[in-house]
Amino acid sequence: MLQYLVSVCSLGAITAILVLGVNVRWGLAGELDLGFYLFPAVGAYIFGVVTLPKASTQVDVTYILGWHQSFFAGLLAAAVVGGLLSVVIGAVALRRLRANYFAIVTVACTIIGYTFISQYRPLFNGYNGIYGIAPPFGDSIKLGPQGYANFFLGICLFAMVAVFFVVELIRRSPFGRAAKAVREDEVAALAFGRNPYILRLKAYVIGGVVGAIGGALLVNYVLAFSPNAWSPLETFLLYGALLVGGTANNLGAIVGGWLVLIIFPQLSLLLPPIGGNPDALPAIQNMVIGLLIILTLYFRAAGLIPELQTMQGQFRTKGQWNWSRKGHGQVGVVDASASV
Amino acid sequence: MTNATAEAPALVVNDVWRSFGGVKAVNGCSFEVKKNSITGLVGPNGAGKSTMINLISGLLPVEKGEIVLDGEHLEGHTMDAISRKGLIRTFQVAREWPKLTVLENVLAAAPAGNREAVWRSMFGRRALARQEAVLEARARALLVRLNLTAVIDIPAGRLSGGQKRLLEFARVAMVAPKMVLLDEPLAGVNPVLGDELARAIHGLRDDGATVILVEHNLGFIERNCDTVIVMATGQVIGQGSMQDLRTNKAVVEAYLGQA
Repeated sequence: MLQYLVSVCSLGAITAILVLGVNVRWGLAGELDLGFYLFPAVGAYIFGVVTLPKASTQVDVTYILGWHQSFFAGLLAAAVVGGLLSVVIGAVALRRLRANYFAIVTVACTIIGYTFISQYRPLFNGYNGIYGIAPPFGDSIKLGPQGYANFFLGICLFAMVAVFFVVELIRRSPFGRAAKAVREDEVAALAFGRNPYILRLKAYVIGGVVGAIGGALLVNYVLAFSPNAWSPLETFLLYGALLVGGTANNLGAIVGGWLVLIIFPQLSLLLPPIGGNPDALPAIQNMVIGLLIILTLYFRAAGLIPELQTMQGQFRTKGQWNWSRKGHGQVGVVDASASV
Repeated sequence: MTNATAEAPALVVNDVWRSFGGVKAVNGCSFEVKKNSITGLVGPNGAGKSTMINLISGLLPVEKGEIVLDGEHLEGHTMDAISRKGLIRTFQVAREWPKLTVLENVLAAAPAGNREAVWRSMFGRRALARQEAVLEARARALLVRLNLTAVIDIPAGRLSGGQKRLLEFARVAMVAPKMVLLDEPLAGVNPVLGDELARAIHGLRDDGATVILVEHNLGFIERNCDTVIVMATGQVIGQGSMQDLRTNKAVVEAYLGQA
């Protein structure tokens, strides 16, 4: 039971990272990216081919690279490739200002990527995908199966907290404020000298890097990756989690990821099997998640933890620097009263 | 008179053309705007005032002609580039960022510099905090001036129409622009608030900006503008004080006639 729980929690932390990635794009910058799952997938593949040994050692398996590098090298490579791919797709998709144009282009790119990766075997072994990924640090640390599972959960939770910390810093920064301004009214942002294209592209790239890191961790969890693992439905599920948790709130993204994609499906496992059909349960789960999205939008459109619309927790170094810290702090008080 | 012409104008619009399909919205429009003046831009509906504002601010590209701000050509530049050159415009509808607080709205309007670089959200945060503190102090002072202190921390989307107008002035003042284009700032505003807006407009001028004001309320124009430009059918048909214009036959026929 404990082993099972640890495993589920590892997946929960990874899922939360993916939802955080969606939140940077859709929550912060308002980019309706319907092809998000391309980035976790590419992150997973890149991590795989960077850490796996040469493909030629196996029969009937082909993929690029095969550098047999460490976990960190794989993670870094995944992040870099995820970022580069975001630059390329974002540069095209965000070129026009219209949101529906962007959404269609992202879907098209994902379909192209999906088809290409499935059919072109030399890249990532086509439809069979890559497998045999070694558990991270499996050789260097000696732990039993349970000990190792706990260790891997630690890695995932650490990554989740680290990603949360970074995207939260970004949300609170002047960049985050500008990205939100573009989301709210881009013509006004233009009028005040912002370039919405560049700001959106930056958010798009950050989201892609986060997604790729999540994907790299995911492939460490499942130890194999093939096109079966990333149907277009996955993107929809991530959006469902974010909408229920709270769009544009990073804490809401984490809560939504756990609640909708981990706790809720686990609870539904307790249901009795339906008509002896093993496919019925996942299908019903997806239908219920769809229903949850509709109900959330209807009754609590901002999600469980809505976006913060105050300066509370907004960019500060140490507490309320604008009033309390010596020197600069006083400027605020003096200026404000002087010009009444 | 010699003094006035000796000083270089803030804005020169020279033979500017723009059409939509077959309709010539602005055809061969030319005028100059004196530095640090408040200049009214009036004319009947369809005269091309809004198009002119959109052309100057870069929301629409110019087909032909030149627009020069302080010796710098604006035509061919995008709206954000023109804004960074110091020309800020407002819109007929106040365009606040509804989910940002009032204070954030003003801060987000301040020139970006390199504060909005992504890496600065993680590194050198103390230096960034100092820059932000200076801006925040200025923003708070502006909001005090515009009577928005009570709503400083609430999302701008919850403001009343008039407060949104005032917020727009705070955002514009935050930029300390060379030139401001105000597109019907009185639209949907009650007369009492009108006086407050007039004070805000003069405040912008006192801070060194040149103001162009598109407005249908001729009384407001007369009370607040140094000089008035009248447009009709895409061209300038008269320029001068309101008094001069009342005796200008072309202007009376095209616009003031019934009044």
